[in-house]
Amino acid sequence: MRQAVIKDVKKQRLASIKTVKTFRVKFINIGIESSTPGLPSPIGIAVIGFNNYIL
Amino acid sequence: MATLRGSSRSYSVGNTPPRVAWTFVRGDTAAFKVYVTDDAKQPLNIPDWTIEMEIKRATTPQSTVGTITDNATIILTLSPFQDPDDSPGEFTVSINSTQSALLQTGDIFDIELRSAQDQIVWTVAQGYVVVIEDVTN
Repeated sequence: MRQAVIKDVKKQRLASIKTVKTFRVKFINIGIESSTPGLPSPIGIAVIGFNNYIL
Repeated sequence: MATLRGSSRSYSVGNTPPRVAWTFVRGDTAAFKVYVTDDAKQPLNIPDWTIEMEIKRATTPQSTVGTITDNATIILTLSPFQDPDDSPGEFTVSINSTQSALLQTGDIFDIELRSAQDQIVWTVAQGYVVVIEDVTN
């Protein structure tokens, strides 16, 4: 009598996903020259939150 | 980079543009500079790029100030450029007194860079303006 054994072979596959960040950015406020350490300029520009863009 | 193994079914790719709040007093001149590089942190050559910036006003009231929406009317079209004071990779966004007088808190904008023949189009930032009312006209 012959027998056949069927064995399911599960191979672990890997997938690598890489986000392509092609650019980076930085913002530079142009402030008011007359401000002093005791009276700082109001925030002219604010970056809300962070993400992979920001230098 | 992430490695997807086993039974994970989803992964997020792509980046949300930086969100910027630009504050100035109504009728004032205002400006800021933007410094852009490639992913290796090498400054972009600004003359190789067309820079466009539109400031729009939402046609319907927004529950959150500065919500980016397609339903908006153009208020200003600006063309930021690299001025003589700018370093490599830098360009300046500026508005004059007449332009700033037109704007209202919550007006939205974005800054877009386009390479030749639009081979690369990149939204550098999205944001909104905060206009402080003035006393002296």
